[in-house]
Amino acid sequence: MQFLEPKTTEDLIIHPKKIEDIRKWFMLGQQLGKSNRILLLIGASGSSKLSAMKVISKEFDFNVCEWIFKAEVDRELLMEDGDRGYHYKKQSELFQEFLIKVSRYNSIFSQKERILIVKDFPNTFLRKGNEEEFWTILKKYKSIGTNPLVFILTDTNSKSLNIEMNLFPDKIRGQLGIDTINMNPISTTLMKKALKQICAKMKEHEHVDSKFIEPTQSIIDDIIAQSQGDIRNAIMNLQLVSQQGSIDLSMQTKSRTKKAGKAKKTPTDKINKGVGRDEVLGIFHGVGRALHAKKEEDPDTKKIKLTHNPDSVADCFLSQPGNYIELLHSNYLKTFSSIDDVKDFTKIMSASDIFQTEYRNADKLHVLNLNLVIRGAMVCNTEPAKGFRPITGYANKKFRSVEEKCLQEYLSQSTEFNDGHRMSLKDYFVDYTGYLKLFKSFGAGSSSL
Amino acid sequence: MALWVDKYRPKELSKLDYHKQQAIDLKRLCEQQDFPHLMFFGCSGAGKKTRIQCVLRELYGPSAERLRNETMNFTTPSNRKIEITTVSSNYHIELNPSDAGIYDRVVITDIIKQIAQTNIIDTNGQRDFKVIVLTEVDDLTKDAQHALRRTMEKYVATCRLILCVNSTSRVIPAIKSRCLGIRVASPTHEEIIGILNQICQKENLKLPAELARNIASKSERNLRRAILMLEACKVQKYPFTNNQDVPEIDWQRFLNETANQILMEQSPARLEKVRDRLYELLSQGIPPDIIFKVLVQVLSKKCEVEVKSQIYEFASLYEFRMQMGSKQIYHLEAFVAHFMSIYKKYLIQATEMMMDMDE
Repeated sequence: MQFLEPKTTEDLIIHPKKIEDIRKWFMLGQQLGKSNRILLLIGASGSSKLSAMKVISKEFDFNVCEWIFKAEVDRELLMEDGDRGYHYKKQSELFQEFLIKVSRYNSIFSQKERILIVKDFPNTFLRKGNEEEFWTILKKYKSIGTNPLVFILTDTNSKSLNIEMNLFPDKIRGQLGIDTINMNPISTTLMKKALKQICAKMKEHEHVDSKFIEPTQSIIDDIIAQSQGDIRNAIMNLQLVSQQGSIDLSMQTKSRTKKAGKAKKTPTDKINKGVGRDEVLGIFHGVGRALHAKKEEDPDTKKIKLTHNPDSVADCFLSQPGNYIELLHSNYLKTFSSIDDVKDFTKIMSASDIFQTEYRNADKLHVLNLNLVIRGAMVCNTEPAKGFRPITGYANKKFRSVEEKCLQEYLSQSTEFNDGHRMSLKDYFVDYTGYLKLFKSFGAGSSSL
Repeated sequence: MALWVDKYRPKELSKLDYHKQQAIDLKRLCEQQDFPHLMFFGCSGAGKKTRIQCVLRELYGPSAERLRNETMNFTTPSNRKIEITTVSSNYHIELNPSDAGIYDRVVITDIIKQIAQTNIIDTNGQRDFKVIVLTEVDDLTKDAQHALRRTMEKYVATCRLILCVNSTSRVIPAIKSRCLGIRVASPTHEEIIGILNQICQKENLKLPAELARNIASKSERNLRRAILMLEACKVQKYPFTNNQDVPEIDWQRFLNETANQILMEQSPARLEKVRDRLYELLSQGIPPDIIFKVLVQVLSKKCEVEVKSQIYEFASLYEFRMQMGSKQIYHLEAFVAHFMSIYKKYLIQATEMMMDMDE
């Protein structure tokens, strides 16, 4: 990995346009004479955010200064504080110190300008309620800092961990003039090019790794497909594969890659256990896989087989079976064309709700239940509907607001009738609301109203 | 602007219009020193709540009618806060514990403790117990019902429970055996007609016999609905005519339309539309069991006997599962899908038969 680290912008395998964007940011800073500009660099993991930053800073003659938080080091540093034993400085204080001191005092070894890069966020800011503290530090930096500051953020799916949303809301961005550059996952073509280059390089420098065997094209394709735009992962896999170089593996991949071309849009095949990270399916993706189950004929036994193992699909959603099943339920009807198939599947769904409601042994039962539903969806649909059927969100979502409104209405009105006694929800909605509407619609002239 | 339903609700046991013998029995029960826990059961609109209020009045006099609304707060062991609105007088408190959803057990234990731990100090020395009225007890979780059973025994010295349920089948036997069950049967058509006539007399209206019968049969022996219908008729058109339309309320119309849509086309796409409509009904607070009932009634009318038996088989299966499960829509949908599948086959068979006949 380290050996292969990019040294010039030509080595970088991100899109030239993005490089240009980052360059522009640097140049703008120099032109304006403002040195303490702040940049947000956002992208999926392994989209070479940090590498790009390092290379380009070098190009502009900056020294890179990275924020690294190490608990142990700090403890040693702070020992002196001590009659009362250990004294921990707050992370936020340390962070502030880092920002201000580093930007004030230049390194004694070089006279180059420095650029600060923050990649690992101090945990304390991620906690709810601590955003203010972070902002004050940022504002302080903006007023006294002298060097450019770059924050590198990784995209995440989970909301609570979404640093971009929590720590950098639009308001703050506007106030402090923070620029944002989004990095995309690395495209297949670029990745291919890069891996080829790497192979070539490895051959040149045989002394680095004498065991290196060049992998076949099909393996490289496989690696690329599985890395899902993550260059770090791809290179690591490449290294692994090139060292094994076993014939078995290449045979196995060969038979797979035939399909890979066909299934470009749909996900990678996940039989090649030798390489690749565990597949992480988005929930939409997983639902799609169950609903548009691909089937193939086994050449030996002539039996129809599922392309994707339902178990592995189920494995991706163990933590949220309820959500998965609900999304599946909201979308399955579009992919069925025969009502008889639907009948079979609803039978399973109905049973699954019973399982899902059971709270004893829930951990085991819910996993089985998830499996049941996925298998049901894959098998029941004997005549899938043709054409592109995108998965849309949860079906009951649009009715939530109605539900809430009705409930509010009920709470505010429930004691108005019935002599002050509360009436039950059922009675209210089944009888009263309907008639009240009728009374209103027939006009106010009536004596009783 | 009291609705007629509320305006003409009898306040005393002696003024009840039907189940007169039962009223007399209740009255005697109140006169005794030994007052048991009570459980009123019967269909909705039969008059359970009315009777409960009458019993309370009988026990404590008119001051039991002085009501106030209160919001009570409960904290679950997992530190979740729940709010429950209650209605109470000095002598009793009325609440629906199933408002708390799955946390109903906490509500049950806490409220009974709170109420029962204090003795009533009444100068008249009328009654030495307070009353807790719990509604929709059949919707409680099993857990809560067991909690109810324990607390019922423990605090019997200071409080009595009056439970109000639709069907005793979902109440655990332990509770059933601790209460005196009082069945409030739905009024007969004649009784409903009688009451409607009484109300019209008091309102100085003339109610044609035909219309009264019409309303009574349409109300499905639900007195509350019958009175609301009568008032709706009055608002719609007065003087009454004999063959006046009894207005249907919107969810009924909507549900009937939905059933017709199912009969018109049997395909996954149609099922999806039907599902959306069912969602809409559910979100407007129409209970799923009523939806289920109406659907089965309307749909099975269109079928032959053999098909009917199949439909009822699935209806009973999914209705049962719906009670067991938590996502009602799955089971409603499963029933509709099964019906569509069966009905489609039936239609194809029927047309084939027709063709054979033609040949």
